[in-house]
Amino acid sequence: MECWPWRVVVVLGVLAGICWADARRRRFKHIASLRGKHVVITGGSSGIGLSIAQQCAAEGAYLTLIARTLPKLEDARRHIIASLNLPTDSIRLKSVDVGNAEAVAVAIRDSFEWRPIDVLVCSAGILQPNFVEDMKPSRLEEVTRTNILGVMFPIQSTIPLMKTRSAHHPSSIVIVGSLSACVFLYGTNIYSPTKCALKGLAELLKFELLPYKIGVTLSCPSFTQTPMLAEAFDEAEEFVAMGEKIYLVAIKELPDDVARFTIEGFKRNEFFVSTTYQGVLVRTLGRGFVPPDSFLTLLVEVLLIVPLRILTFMWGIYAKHVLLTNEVPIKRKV
Amino acid sequence: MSRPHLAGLKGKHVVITGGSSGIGLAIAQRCAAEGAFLTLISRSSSKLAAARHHIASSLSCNPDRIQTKIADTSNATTIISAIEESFEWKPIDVLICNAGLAMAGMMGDVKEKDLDLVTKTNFLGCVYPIHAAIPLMKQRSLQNPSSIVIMSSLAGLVPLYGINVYSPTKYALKGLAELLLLELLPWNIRVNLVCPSFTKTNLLEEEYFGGNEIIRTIGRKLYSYNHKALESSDDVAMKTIEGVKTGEFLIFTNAQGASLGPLTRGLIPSESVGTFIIELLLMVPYRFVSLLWFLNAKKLVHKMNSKTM
Repeated sequence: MECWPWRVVVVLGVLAGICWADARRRRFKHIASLRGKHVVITGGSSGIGLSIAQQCAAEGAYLTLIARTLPKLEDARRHIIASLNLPTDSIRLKSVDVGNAEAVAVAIRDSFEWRPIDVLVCSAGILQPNFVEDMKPSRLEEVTRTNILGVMFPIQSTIPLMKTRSAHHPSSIVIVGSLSACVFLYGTNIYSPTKCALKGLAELLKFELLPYKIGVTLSCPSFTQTPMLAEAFDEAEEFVAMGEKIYLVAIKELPDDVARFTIEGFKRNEFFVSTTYQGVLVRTLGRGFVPPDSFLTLLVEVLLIVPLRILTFMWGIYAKHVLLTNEVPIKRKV
Repeated sequence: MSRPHLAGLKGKHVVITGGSSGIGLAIAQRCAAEGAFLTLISRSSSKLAAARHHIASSLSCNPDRIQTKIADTSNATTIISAIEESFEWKPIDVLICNAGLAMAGMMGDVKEKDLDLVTKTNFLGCVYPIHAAIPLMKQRSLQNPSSIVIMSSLAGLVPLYGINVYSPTKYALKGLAELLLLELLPWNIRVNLVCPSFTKTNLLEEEYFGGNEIIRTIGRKLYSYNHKALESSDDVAMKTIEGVKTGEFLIFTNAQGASLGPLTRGLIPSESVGTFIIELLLMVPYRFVSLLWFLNAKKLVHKMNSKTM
């Protein structure tokens, strides 16, 4: 009985020590500042990619924006340069379809020759709401090509180049995924599976690139107010209505906030970046086998896992009930 | 599990992609033994003919119970026709998407066309047959319980070092299975995701470990790969069929797989209350185990890398 206060003191002391060590670790930055660094962003002409571009440029980074349509790229560059009063030649543009391996390889090599690439951000992605059976096979192929291959091809071309200098120049590969990598997204057919693939890719890369000081960051935003989402919602009111019933809480966030969390995350080499509280909870259950880098995060997650699992059990029953008792959205062939 | 989804396979029509070898063939064999009708789909007509002959002769069953279709699952037109024709022969009760590829090599070293091929075969090669089968199955599934089985892998739950895009495509299949599970709920079409461990098949021998000492060492030390204790295709087949009958979503085929359940199951809870409670109790200790595993993995990767440098 008498020694329990000492045990409490020891446990508190250990926890305090862990918190202190973690706070110190967090202050250590993988990439301290983006000034003078070269950041390449696919899907950089709109949405989250554009916000990331803007914030990197504001820190003094050089940018290469990669996207399919040149006019949009030019608009993006004009916008960033005007709002930050930058020289035009600090931002280069590459009009490339990320699903085209050769074009991507050429664009990446050329970008590296201009300035060695410090950070590659893969933000290109498309969403086509519909059921799997109502999507045309060519559309299924297009979504797969853009969302999976369109992330792998730039990474594939960048890795060998980054490896030549990463020992002395900490570099990062950043994948803008989605929370739907952890939880299915009703009515979006292969969108969440493609984001699951990106989560798998990120976990694998983290492993493979360990010896090379190339950080890997997977950013998983929730519903973000971007042109991609707006278009999807426009086309799919029926799915949105069903989704609102299933998910109960669906926080819509701003691309600028997502960008801020993502950039902070890759500067610290944080692997799994969540951008909302909803995201933090989903991440706790959806993280998978690979543990968090921060021991503090691990402790917090360990405390939350059991209550969250019980909550999702109840949510699972609720979601199934919703699906069984509601009219299914009318299918359209797209 | 309260009530089985499918009582038995007698007289049912089971379609298997990648059905001419490995796990697909083992599943075909077991289904035929239970009296099912089979359609085997694969790219090679000779392998299909051999598979059909092998099953018919070993079980002394009528070869007319087994159809074969030559199709590349990553080619939408051919696989969709194959599925539609199979349905015309006999309505499909169980679709098993098992075709898959792997190629050894690290990301960064692999050729882009190989990434393309593996992604198309492993992911789209599963999406296309399902895309074709769902509207056909929906016509009768309320009265005739149907199932879609997706053959994934433990590499779809934890990253598998050394075979690049294989792991990510298997992660995608889990996402696909979870989505379909819920969307098809109102139609009495169950979805099963099978996650075997290292299984003794050609894919493992030739493609995963093909010639690379580093991958073999890491496999042994990190993933408990033991070439003397590999799972047999037949065991995997047996567990798969059991799971199809009970309608269980996530099917592990050995203890190693089941041990990953607590951490990797994700947001969709287990149907079985027993499994749910066991996993709940194991989640916290297993998280600490995963931390030790990852620290060990880091050390090993650094060590293997400095050896080759």
